[in-house]
Amino acid sequence: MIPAMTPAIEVANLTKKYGETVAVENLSLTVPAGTMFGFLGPNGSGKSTTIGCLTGLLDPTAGDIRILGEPFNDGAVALKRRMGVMPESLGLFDALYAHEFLFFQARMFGLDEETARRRVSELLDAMELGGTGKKRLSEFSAGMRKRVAFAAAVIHGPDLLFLDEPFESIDPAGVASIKQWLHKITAQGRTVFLTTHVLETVERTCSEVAIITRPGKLVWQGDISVLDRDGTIAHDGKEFRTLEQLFLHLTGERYAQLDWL
Amino acid sequence: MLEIPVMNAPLILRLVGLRYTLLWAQTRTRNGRIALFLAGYLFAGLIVILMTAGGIGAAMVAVRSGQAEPVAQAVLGGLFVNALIASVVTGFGINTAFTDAALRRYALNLRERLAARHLTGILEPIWIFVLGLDLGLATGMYVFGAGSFWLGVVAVVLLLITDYLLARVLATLIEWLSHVRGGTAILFLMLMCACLLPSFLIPRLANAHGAKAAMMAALHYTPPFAAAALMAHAGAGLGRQFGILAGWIEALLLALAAIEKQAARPRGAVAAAAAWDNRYDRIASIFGPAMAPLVGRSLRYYVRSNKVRFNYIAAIPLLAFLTFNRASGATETGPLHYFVRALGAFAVAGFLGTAVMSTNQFGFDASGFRRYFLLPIAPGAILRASSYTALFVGSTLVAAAWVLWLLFAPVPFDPRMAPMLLASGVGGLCLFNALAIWTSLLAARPTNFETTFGNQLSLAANVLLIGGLLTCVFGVVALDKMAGPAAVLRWWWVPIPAAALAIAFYLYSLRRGAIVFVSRRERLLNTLEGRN
Repeated sequence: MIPAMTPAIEVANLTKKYGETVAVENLSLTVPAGTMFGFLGPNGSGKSTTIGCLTGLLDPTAGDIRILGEPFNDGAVALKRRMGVMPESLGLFDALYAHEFLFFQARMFGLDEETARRRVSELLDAMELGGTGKKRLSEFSAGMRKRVAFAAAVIHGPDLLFLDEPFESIDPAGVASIKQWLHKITAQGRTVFLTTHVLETVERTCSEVAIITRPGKLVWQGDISVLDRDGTIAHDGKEFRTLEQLFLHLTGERYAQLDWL
Repeated sequence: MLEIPVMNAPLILRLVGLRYTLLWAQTRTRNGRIALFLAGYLFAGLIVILMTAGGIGAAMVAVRSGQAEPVAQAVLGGLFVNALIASVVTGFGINTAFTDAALRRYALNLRERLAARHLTGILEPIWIFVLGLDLGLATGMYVFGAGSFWLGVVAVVLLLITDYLLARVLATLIEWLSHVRGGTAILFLMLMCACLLPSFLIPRLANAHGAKAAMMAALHYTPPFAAAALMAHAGAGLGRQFGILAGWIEALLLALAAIEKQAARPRGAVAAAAAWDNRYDRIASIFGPAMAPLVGRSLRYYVRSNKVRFNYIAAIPLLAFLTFNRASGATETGPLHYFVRALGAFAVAGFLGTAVMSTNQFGFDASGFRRYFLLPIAPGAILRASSYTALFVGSTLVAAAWVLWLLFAPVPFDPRMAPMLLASGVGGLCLFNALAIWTSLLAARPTNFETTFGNQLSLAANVLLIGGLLTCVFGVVALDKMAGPAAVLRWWWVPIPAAALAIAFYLYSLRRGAIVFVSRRERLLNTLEGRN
């Protein structure tokens, strides 16, 4: 657990370039500890790249990152032990069975054999994956794969959880369970950083939101809990009753007219 | 009125075009351009050499010697068998460009999907190359007045279809067997028979009374002999030769349909609770607690990969074939000559079984590659774990080959042979695995874990695997011819420092490779996740 005043994530002037292409530009962001934080943006706006930099997958071109109060860099192995990540592409080892994959993940994150086995069994039951002992991950449906990836992200009880599109492909009952677990995690002072395109879910689940546009530029960050109480968010002299209205206004997204459709 | 079903030819041809577009698209990458340049260079060279020596040149020899048909039989038979081996062993020309499931999204019925699949298959570059060589012979025989041009063309086309179908049947059969229970044992027996029976049977049959004539008579019912007869004789027995080729095609099509139907049968997915199988973790624990989960994961990949399993069981029969057979160009026989050839076989023994995975260590991980960098461990450990697993699996082959040699070695046995063979095996294993680290890092490719066939290796990995095998096999044949077994045994200590050097090179590659692994991780991630 981290002291309540220490932000879970502090990003200062983060830039990520691929050759001449700028994926994230001068992004500065602070995520308070113990919050469910929504990180939103249109396709290609740099959300996954930002998560890649925040989790050690990608090397930032410039900028500073502090995670759980400590500087985050290539050598931050101990810090990684306190993080759980569910990447958008899931990152599963398809030739393994679900229990083998989760056991591998648990052992890599330092759990002893007995605890690892117990948690794997509990998670498989909780995710309704109990009867898949003879099925490789490559044979799983999209929703089942997502559940396994979620289980892998939480198995070691991380202080900071990154979830990239966690609810996509999962059935409503599964989504409801995951939301409950996420609330339990944040209630204990731990932090959830999630990205999704389902704005209604963000509105109901997250307390704070950051919105970025191409190329990875922060355009808004703030508390959205007011929307839960039928309130409005004021921005640019306008009042927004839903997150979707605010998002479309900030990102300038429009519907293209297809006359032939 | 009888209605003749019309194929959706434009769509099928568009799919063939798409296949070539996809092949061409590979040249947009740097590796693809290098491969294209080398393939084009080799292709042009081979065309010149083989059209003169194997095609039209053979036709000249055939006509001038007055032995048109026997020469045509030998040339067509050789091309037939070589194309078959090249496609089944290396996977060239039988990669499934479009599966039936993939073709279902288009407006094609069952017959059209079948036609599209096989048309894209038979129009792969390797079959066009074989067709070119066969046509060279047909053209030459026509030009020198030993056959009809059009009959020759028809014979060549039918022969090519038979060759393609036979390769497809064998590949599908092996693929299917590698998925079913007990299939691996059947495959092993098949391989042992294919590798060892010819050298056992042929000398005996050659001496048996009447056996040679019976064999020759039987060979007349094979596709190359039927095609040769069609090429050489414009009139007599035409219907019979057509019948033989058509019969082969029909039988192979039926066999293929039956195997594909069997292979497509869904395997019952029985609900089962998690069964904790500790074998892998117990073996992995010898690499220490920090490395054990990674090695255990990697070991499961090696053991569960059909490609690795097939190559693993094929390695020792293949090496026995290369050691005891004259196919490698060796003319000398006898225990000491076999020993010299075994030195080369041992050097490549451990690598052969694992090369499809060890030369492309992360190619099977797909998006799992991403996870490595989320783990709380130095990335170098991932490379080490993966390479140790290849080394460990390969070492079991070296050990097995060594024990088999000690048990069944041709007499007289010289005590110097044991350390020489062991040093050759260990040195080769380390050298090839060191080079495999570099192909994995510098020429990675996304690879389908589920298939048994298809050459999905990068150009560099192919050069390492095929080049390594050829160097070891022909290198010792040359050594045997130039120095002789007595001299090789006199210098018995040489393989030991050579093995020590190979181990040092392996350790250097591991250390240096870890640095490259980190610096190239984003490029590797893009490649392995298909964003080349």
